[in-house]
Amino acid sequence: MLRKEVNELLTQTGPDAAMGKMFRQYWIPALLAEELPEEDCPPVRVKLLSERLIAFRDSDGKYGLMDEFCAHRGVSLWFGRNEEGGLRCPYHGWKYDTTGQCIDVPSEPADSGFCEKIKLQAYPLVKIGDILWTYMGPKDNQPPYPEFEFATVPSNQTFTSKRFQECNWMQAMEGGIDSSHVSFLHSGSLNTDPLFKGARGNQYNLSDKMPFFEVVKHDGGLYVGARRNAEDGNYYWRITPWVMPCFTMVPPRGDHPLHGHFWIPIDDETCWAWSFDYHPTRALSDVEMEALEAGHGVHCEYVPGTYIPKANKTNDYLMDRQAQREGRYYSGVKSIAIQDSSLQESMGPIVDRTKENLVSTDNGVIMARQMLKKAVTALRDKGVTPPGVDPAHHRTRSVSVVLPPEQAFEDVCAEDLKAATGKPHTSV
Amino acid sequence: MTSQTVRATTAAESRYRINTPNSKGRSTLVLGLEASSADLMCEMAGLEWNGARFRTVVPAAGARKPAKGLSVDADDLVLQAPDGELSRLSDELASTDVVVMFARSGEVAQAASVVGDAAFGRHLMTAGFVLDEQDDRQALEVTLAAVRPFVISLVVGSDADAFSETLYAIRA
Repeated sequence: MLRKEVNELLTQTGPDAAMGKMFRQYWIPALLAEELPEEDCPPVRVKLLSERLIAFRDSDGKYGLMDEFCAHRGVSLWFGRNEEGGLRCPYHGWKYDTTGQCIDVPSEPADSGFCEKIKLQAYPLVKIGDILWTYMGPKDNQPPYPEFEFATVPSNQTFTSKRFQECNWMQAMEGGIDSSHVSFLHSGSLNTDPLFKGARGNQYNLSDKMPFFEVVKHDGGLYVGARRNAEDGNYYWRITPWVMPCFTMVPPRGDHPLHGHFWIPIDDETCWAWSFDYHPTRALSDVEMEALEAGHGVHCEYVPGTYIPKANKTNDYLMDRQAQREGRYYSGVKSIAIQDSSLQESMGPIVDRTKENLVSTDNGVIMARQMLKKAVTALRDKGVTPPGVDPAHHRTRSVSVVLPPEQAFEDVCAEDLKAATGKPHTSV
Repeated sequence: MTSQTVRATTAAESRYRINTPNSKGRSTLVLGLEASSADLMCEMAGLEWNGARFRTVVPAAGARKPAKGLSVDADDLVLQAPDGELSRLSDELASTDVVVMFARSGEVAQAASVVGDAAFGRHLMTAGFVLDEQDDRQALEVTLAAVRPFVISLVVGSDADAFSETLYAIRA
């Protein structure tokens, strides 16, 4: 459990909150590149870390992310005309470039210099992989670009999606660290989902529902190892990397693509759940792409025209009690992604962690909270850059492996846990 | 018509969570596996807990003369409380729900096997915390190898605060 004040410290991510300032140390996913597909396309409303912003792409293809509201009288620039190198407010024609600089105030004389005094808060927006990333921190502290492997492999090897999740970022992220739930919540999907089934490791998940855990730190966060019994007295290890503050990877199964997540706060009660699948050494197959686009694996089906999951709280997640009874879906909810989000949303907008009864197998979650608390207070009190900002911390992979009982995964798998171009991933 | 899930998951509804305790206390036994842990066990015992008991394993070779009536079998251990009182592991486990073993990096932690076997035999939950304050991978490996087979969850921490926070998190 957490004390109330620590819960508040870790969950609040607005501009004045300590954790908000910590999130602003990192490059974070802001939009899918597909949302701004071409020059002068329609602008898109974006809310991140409780800031309301507008994203657009100008006539030269440059990306911009700035305050949503016109400096004149507060009109939303979602109504803006994206034309000739800027976004023009339709109310009185004030125009802004991608840096938030006002470049035209039609009602003022051209040489008055008035528009030079008007500048909206704006953040850089860069395309890496399928994602437009932003950095919302102090300009003079901007870190190098992120180097997560899923975003840097060739485009035919990777697939990214996002979905709207109606709960605080942290209770969602903790689901990514806690692998003990897989043997229960996702058990019905291990043998049926096209992006999970058929791996030799699945049998260990299903036959051993009491994994043993080992949690070790690395420079960017934690490795959480879950071990289950394998043949001949060996252990089947599934190792989850967590890179601060909110990146996790699911240990791989067979030659299926690797996958993982970010959870990015929209505000204190909602977040974007970003999900990716990629293969380090080959293109995703047609079968895999079809499954990904159909919402299998860690992705989902949507309400058409939105990033809202089709199964959501307004329709009770399309709960199927018959399927629950029959064991097809352990919770009665169909897709792996929604199996997680439904339970995480049910905890409430910000879960009250003073009521928890944690057990030792929650040690990954316990350690992650400790590391977050340490990092956020070190930044607040001493200006220390938190782990996970350095791109070296991003070059990691998840691993699944069978090891003899006396071997520590941290040593034996040290190289397997590092991402490297062209290197096959380690999987069972 | 609004779904029941929408109604049930608003911030307003969250205020109606029942405020009475939702669990009975668990009895936690925190064991320093080697004599070098005794000081830390004493320090921890001085903080506020939900009934956690802190003990240190008394090494067999250097054990003081047992208190009157205190003898242990080969599969048992003598433990010492911060106030000096001696007890048997078997007696302590009789009233324990969770065993948390503590060791420092580099320690041989032989007692882990006795504690682990005794706890598993009683279907008790076990966890291990290894404090790694040195930068010596080989030394750490010695201790991890000794503790790993006997705990369901093993954590390597870099400071004693992490240990006390872990105990707090599980309501020790």
